[in-house]
Amino acid sequence: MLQNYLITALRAFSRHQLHFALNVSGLSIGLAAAILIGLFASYEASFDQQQPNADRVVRVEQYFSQVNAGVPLTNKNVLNRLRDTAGVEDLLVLEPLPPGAEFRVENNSFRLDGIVGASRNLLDFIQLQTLYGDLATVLQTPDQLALSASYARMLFAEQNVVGKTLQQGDKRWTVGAVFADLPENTHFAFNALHQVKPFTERFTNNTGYQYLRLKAGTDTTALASALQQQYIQMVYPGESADIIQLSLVPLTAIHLNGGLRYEMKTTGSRSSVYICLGLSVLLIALAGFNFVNMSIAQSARRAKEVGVRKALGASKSQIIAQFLTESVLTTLCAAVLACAIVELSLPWFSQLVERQLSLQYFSEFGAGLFVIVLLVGLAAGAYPAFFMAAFSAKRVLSGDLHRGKTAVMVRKTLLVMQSGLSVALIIGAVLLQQQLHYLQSLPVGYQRDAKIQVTDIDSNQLLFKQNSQLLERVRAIPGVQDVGIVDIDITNSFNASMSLSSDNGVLAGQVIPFIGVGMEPVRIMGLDLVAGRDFSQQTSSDWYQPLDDNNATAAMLLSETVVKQAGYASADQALGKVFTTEDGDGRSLRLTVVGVVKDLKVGSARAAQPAPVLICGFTRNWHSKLLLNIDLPQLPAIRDQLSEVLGQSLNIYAPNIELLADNYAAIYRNDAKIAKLVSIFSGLAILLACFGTFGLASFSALRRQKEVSVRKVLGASRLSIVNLLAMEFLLLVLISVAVAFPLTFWLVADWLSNFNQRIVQQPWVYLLSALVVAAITWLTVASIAFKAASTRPAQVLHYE
Amino acid sequence: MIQLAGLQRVFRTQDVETTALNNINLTINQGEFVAIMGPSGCGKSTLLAILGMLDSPTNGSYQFAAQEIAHFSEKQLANLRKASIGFVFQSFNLIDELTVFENVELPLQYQHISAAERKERVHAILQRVGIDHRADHLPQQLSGGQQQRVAVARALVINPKLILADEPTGNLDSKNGEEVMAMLRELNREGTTVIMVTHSEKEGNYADRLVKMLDGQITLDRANNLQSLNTHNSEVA
Repeated sequence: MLQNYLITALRAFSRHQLHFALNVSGLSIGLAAAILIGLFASYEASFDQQQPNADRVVRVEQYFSQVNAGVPLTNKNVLNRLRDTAGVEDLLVLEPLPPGAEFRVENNSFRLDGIVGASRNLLDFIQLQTLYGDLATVLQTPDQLALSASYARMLFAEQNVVGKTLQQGDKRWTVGAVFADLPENTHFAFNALHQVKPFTERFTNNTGYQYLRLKAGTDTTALASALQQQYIQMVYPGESADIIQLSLVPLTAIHLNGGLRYEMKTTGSRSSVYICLGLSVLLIALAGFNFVNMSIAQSARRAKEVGVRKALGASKSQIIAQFLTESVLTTLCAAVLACAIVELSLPWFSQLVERQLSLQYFSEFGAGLFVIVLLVGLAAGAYPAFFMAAFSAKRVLSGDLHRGKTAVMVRKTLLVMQSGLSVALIIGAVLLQQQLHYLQSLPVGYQRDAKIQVTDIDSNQLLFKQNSQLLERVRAIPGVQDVGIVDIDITNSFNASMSLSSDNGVLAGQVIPFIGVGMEPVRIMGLDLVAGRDFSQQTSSDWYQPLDDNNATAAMLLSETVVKQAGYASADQALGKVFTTEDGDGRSLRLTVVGVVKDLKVGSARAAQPAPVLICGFTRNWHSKLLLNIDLPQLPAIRDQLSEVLGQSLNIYAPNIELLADNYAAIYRNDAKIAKLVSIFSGLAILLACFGTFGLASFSALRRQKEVSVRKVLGASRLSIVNLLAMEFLLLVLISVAVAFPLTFWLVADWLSNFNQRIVQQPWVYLLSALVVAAITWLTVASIAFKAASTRPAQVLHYE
Repeated sequence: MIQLAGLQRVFRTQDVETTALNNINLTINQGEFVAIMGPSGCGKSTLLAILGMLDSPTNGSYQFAAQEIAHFSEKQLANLRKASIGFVFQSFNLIDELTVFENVELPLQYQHISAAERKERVHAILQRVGIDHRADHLPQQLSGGQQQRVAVARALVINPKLILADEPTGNLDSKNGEEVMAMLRELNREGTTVIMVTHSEKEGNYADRLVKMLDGQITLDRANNLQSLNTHNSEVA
């Protein structure tokens, strides 16, 4: 019997090729999109699953309530003291080596990153394959390094380099082991490992990542609050109980929960995974709707067969089984085509989502895919199958086939949903792009074009003491217009804050983030000066000066918001006022306001941020940056010259140079990725909706063929007939618009509320998307209706 | 074999109620060849559908082989139908996607008969209607007469107790029509009960018994003596 079903199905496919092609291509587009997304989602979920005891490992992260920022870093010495807390089984310490002197191998210098000190139990936490030497020994021996295979090749042009040495300043490292490169699907990222520095009694620096393996069944919330309490007692004795919050993030969730800051490598985005999943479910649903619609549209053609089969003794369930077989077969064909589409588009998609994805057919994923394909086939085939099985054999065979009203209702409802989704997706895509564009064009209070920064320079070389000689030499490089010093990446985030008190008493110990800068920050960073003056060489007292062991002074620029916070009526009034704070070395630091600038937007506009102050010649960061205004076309030459100058002055031969504009664009990269995905998927959704309209329109044209012929006989023009048929569909679009508008408005408003600065939803976007969908619908229907309107009436009426 | 008593079939659409069959009493015995005649809309197709168990009466009794089936469910009807009734339609109603062989094989498949036996029986029946050389062709590749012969073969392959023919020659030219009628006649001689709906007097003459209908009622039911004479001057109601 199954064989009979299959034969019938295959021959039906070859007889109604257009119908079959529409069905299969529609389904395959939906499935292909879903497979791509499925690959992406399952890859994102696979992060760190391979690590030993992954389900019991957590990372300790902290959140600073006062500056409203979280970091995944903690102090290893404190965690070492807390390692006996009930529930904790083991502690892994990873401490990145701060950027220091360059590494030299024979006569070549290398700037190496990802060099991490690790506690000796590393292999209990991370699955790592040692290729040569002994990793455990390296982690217990000072001055030994374990290199990744790719670093070994880069430095020594071969892989087995155990016993070779590298020189870093005065320090000589010996390679003790080589390990295989980490896979891509882990949040860990390091290229070399060494013994972690011994534990000390210093509790204030957050220098590394601390991972805990918990005993089975431990309550993480309770443990987190127990740890937090002890952590605060040790690090911030006497401070309020919520000065920091500790959280224990499961190892396997780090990748999708990670923030932008201080991760070992760029993390994923949970929301983009969810958006992708949602969109792919939508596409499969759309393709399924099409399948239902077109199957029912075709049902008249198969009605005779159903009638005959019933007359010959087929039971209802046999008819249902037959049509389900057919729809599963169609879906399988679509799945094969979908796999081909996936193979073709995988390189492009991998690039889009920035992951190396591949489709393994003989895997859990492949099996899951097969099951989903079967389910889609059954779900999409169910309604048509029951619909067909309900045909009355008697009425079919006596030529008295009335299409059920419910079927028409179902199909129209499905079409309304399809166009509604199309309208919503267009609106979403346009508004998403608008919001993204808006974010990128927001005034940030500084200039970012034609600026480069040289990162990872020891702060002691740039701030505290003026290094005019270095700045002179850099400024002398052809193409460099200006050079200054900043202690943060202004496109990323603040690194430090201080508790400020104003002389009028309004601010008392207020925590305010600050940026340490060199001379003339207004000119070099392109800030908007509202009142007062820039820091300047002419008033060299602007620069940070320790007067004695207890006192120090520096000049300060306020941002407008801080002026208001400190209770001054205007920017001018704030000039000359003195703020006080501590400099961290036990001195009281007196800060004199010399100017006021417009508010700076550091990092992403997504989150609200406190307004900062700028302090001349002072920092709390280990590393600072040279900020250069340059003539952009000369960048390659400038790069070479910089290496030379920095090499001679600071022993930095391979400086890390970044374009500020690139860094700024990177903030919105995840958002841009989502916007792009939504655009692509909306395009596909509209395409699928077209398929649906096409199927329904061809059915409708067939149904109204006689009416059309009669109208033509009575003198109707082609256009009037096309419009007559299209009107039915435009009405459906109108209904779908009525449903889609409020829902979309609500959803988009919800999404926009994530942003601190956001666009207003414009009515024209809504009207435009409705018009686009209506126009596409009209064109699709017209392509069918024109044919119907061109048929010679005699041919049609003859058969009636 | 068939006994209808007080049979009624009413169709209801939103506001209109149409009585297609009204108080039909009819007994058909094993081995008869009955022609049901009447103008369009007289209810003869509805009667055929009920006799063929494709439809159920609204009221009244239908006994098939001494079994009351008026109240049978669709599934029970399907089971009874597939073992005992063969259909021949005016428009042949062969399944376009299946070959001649597969079309004839289909009713046997629904009866779960083994592949080997199916093959044997289908070949035998195709030979009998003289179409076995076309076994692998699709219906569209055959002439109308050939298609109707396939349809007859399909009706016969289950060895039915009853053959129901709905205007079996309506779509055929006279030569092919006569051939099909002769075939039905011969089947009847071999013992199969045949009930045929037609509005052609000429075809009615092939039958042993004429049942005439008008407006859902039987107006005439008599033996047909003229059939052996095979002439045109049949009786007028």
